[in-house]
Amino acid sequence: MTTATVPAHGTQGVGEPLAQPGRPRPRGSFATAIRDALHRPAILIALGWVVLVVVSSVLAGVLAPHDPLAQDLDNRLAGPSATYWLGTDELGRDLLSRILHGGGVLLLAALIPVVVAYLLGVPIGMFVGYVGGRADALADFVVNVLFAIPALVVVLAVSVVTDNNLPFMTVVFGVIVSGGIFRLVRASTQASRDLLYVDAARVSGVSRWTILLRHILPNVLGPLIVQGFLLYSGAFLFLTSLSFLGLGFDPQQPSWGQLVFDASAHLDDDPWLMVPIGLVLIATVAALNYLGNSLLATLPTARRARLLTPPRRPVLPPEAAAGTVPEGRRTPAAAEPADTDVPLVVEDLVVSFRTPEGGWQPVVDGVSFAVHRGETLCLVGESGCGKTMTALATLGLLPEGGAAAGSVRLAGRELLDLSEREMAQVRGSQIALISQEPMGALDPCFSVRSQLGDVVKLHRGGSRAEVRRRVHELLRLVGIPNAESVAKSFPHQLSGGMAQRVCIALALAGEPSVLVADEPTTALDPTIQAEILDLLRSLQETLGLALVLVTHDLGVVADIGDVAAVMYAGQVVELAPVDELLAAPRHPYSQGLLDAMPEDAVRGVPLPTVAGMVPLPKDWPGWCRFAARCPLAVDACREGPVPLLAVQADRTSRCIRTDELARSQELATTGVTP
Amino acid sequence: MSSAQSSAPSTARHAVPETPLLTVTDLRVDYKLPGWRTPPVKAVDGVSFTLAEHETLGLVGESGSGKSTIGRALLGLAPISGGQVVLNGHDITEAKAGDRKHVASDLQVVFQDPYGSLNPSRTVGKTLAEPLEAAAGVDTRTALEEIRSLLAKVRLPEDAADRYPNAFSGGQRQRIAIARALAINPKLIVCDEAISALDVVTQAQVLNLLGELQRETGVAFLFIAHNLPVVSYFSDRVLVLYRGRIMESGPAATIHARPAHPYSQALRAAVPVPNAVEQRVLRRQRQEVVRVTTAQAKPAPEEGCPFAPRCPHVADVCWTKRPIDAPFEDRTVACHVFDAASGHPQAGGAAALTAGELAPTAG
Ligand SMILES: Nc1ncnc2c1ncn2[C@@H]1O[C@H](COP(=O)(O)OP(=O)(O)O)[C@@H](O)[C@H]1O
Ligand code: SF4
Ligand code: SF4
Ligand SMILES: [Mg+2]
Repeated sequence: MTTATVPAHGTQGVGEPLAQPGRPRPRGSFATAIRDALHRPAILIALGWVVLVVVSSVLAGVLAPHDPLAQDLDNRLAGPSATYWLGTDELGRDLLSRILHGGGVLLLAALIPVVVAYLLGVPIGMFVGYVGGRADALADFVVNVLFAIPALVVVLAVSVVTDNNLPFMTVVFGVIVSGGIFRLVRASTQASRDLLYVDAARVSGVSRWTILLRHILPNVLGPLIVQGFLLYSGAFLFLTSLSFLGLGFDPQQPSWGQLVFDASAHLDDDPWLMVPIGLVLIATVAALNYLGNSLLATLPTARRARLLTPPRRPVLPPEAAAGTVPEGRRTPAAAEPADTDVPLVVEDLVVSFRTPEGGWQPVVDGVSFAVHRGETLCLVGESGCGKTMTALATLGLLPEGGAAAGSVRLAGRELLDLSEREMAQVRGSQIALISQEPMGALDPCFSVRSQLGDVVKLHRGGSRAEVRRRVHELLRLVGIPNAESVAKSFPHQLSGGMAQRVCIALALAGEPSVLVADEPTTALDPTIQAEILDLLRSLQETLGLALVLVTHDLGVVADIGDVAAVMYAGQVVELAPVDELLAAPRHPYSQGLLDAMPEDAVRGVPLPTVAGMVPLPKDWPGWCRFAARCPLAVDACREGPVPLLAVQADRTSRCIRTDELARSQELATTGVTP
Repeated sequence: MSSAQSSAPSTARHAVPETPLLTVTDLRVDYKLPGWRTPPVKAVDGVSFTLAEHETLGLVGESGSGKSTIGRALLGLAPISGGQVVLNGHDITEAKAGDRKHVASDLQVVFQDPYGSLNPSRTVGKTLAEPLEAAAGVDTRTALEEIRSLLAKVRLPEDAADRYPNAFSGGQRQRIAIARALAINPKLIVCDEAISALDVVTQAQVLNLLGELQRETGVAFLFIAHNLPVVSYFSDRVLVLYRGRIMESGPAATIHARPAHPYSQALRAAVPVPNAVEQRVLRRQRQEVVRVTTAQAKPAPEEGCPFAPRCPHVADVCWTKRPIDAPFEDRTVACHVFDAASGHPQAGGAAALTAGELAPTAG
């Protein structure tokens, strides 16, 4: 277990989203999104403007060329001049100086409502969100009332009652708007309350406040910062309006609202007066809003159906593909390109990812196989062996940073050469994907009918009635008898098995000839798994589909597979007809997978399994990659790469000791201890 | 009412001590649904069982059968609406998670999802220190010692303590979760689908680890999973659950080898075996042991047998009358066929049903 200290990217579980490699500490997508945002010019401009406004307001005393209150009655309503760069107002006061002095008090005062809203909304929201029940209902009621209060009216009333006391008015405003913060915190708390690690802490007897501070607050922080920012820009605008009305701020002191008010009185005789203050105000409010909305966009939003969002398709540069596949060894699996009986041929497929250092790291290394019409090929192996990447590469759906080389031919057509647009057409209509997480592949916001309908329309077109008929037909095809009512439902109303049936219907909508299924039943119960496997088999028989199925369960392979490609560390280590593979594996790794099945195991006797873990791509040795975990390894195994060797007419194995393995199997079955 | 403890043969065979570690009597958990007229969902519907020290009791069933809810109810994470839970002589029915420090030292948990069950922003060391701090107010030095020995126990390197969960694979994270559960030497660990999200090799490694730890520490397991072969391999006794009720209970080995209840048979036939020839037979079998797919099944009757919509042996009585826990060999089976007095046309055909030789009914 020395491999525990590995970088993040090599240790994905089944279907996990990938963590960025090389980053020691996860900071969530929020921090990453912020960092990305800082590279966008518009954001930088907005941010620059806000900083400029803040700095110049702070330094107004130093920067302003004149006293903002000094009157020069000879130069009233003067235009820009050498003395008065932006001109003067009706009392001959310098406009530039007044603008410089007039922002600070607004910017400061706008902080008060934000602070008040935080102080009220965060603790209360967290508390009632966590405990729920009556406290929650009461707090929610109060907030509903707050939302119904017209803020402006109340603040105006307060201003009358308190004789224009600005701090008081801003505090009241803060109380009224605290509902938004409260709602947000409560919702995030409710969402994190049911996280498993929170449950684990509760089971350990950790106190409530410790849990809130330690496990829940960090989850709320991102949205909270965003919300605070939006609140601030709202408060800023609100206070500017107040000062325009002559409320809250000392009428003697300049403030931006006041300046606008002054200018509006001279719109007829001196329109210039409005220009500088108007521009400054618009720019500031626009910058604040833009920043706030950009922040908002960094928060996770609803996921879209994966099938409908083709990612970019980078091409693997030759230097990245070179040197990974030994020369002069084409695998026998390759068939003639134009053979219609063999719709999918993968040859010497290499999938690489960009490393942080700028190089390429192969994760799939020279994989070849062919799938016949009406036949199922299973890709088998532990997590991290490259099964998923192989499957995704055939569909041109590699994640960001990944690239494929070699050859993937669909009905004789080379897919790796296609542009993303061409590939998008192929995907769905000739080759389709069924993913492991049916719920993740469905859009929670749309009904089954509308999602299926979209795909049907895309591939076939037709009138509304035709599309509808086809949707129901597809649902019945995947064994859903009450198609009408299922079509109306939303993903969250479906059970896992039902959702997977819908996903299969989605994949079939374009009538593909090849179906790629990545662990389609791993997330399901055995009973549902059996049903889905039966469904896939019957679809395959009626539609003549070629199926590529990724799984780590040799039971599933036995059930549905015709041919199995066992993968280890990015390579196919054994390729054989399923019956033969399971009866007598010819690679020690296949044997290890078989031994790990608890099927015939006896209680109390440890399962004979493979020790250790799959090596990370960067740790692949230059010899047999399984050697470190292989019980049969000898020195000869460490002398160089092991090629795929023919062990029988239709079987290959990447092992030099297959005879030894066969002998040990013999001994095991005859009962003689080896 | 189901009661595994009343199944005398099983008690005799497995020598359950006088006072069991855990006694659950007629446990009920109802979940209220939104809408004031929708009836509550009976997630757990009158379940009784006992669990001895050092014992492993398996709970098996498909999702929605209530197995996880039973575990969560014991842990104080699900609302108990009826029945009683006695752990180590203390009635903990009312002890909600959060105010159960005294329970925490006896009862811990390992969850299914190795990714969700560790806080991604806290180091492994901090995660492991948490139960130590909460339970005993251990000082930092002793906590560090403890953490080191915990990591060694689950075969992880020492420096794992300074890393964040994202540096570990699913199997390794599950080891961390196991270490957290072991931290305060509990008497019972609820393993809620603890191996279901792992691939076969990792699953075998974690199962072996759990077995070793049980031999070393004598901890008892409530082992919850949906895969009958895995559960029977790892457990002494097994409860087969369906829709919140116990369908069959008895020794793991017999239930695995010769499941008696029609639902247990369906569950058994559903898990494919890694042998192409045997699997072809099993595949045919699995189509015989259920009448319809889950997608086609009618809703289960309010009273009566919950498996009636899918059962090949269903008769009129199954739609109206709830089966009793009928004793059969060394187990109990909640099916009318096993109860001679039930009025089921095939009543008395228990042996034939168990042998798979009973013809399906016309229903
Ligand atoms: N986006 C990515 N960036 C870098 N490496 C990746 C990425 N996605 C997958 N990998 C690596 O590719 C290898 C194979 O992964 P995968 O195909 O998911 O394996 P399997 O499906 O067999 O579990 C792993 O080592 C994994 O860490
Ligand atoms: S080549 Fe050697 S090390 Fe590799 S699998 Fe065969 S026996 Fe094991
Ligand atoms: S009680 Fe009836 S429906 Fe239920 S399992 Fe027995 S035979 Fe089948
Ligand atoms: Mg995978």
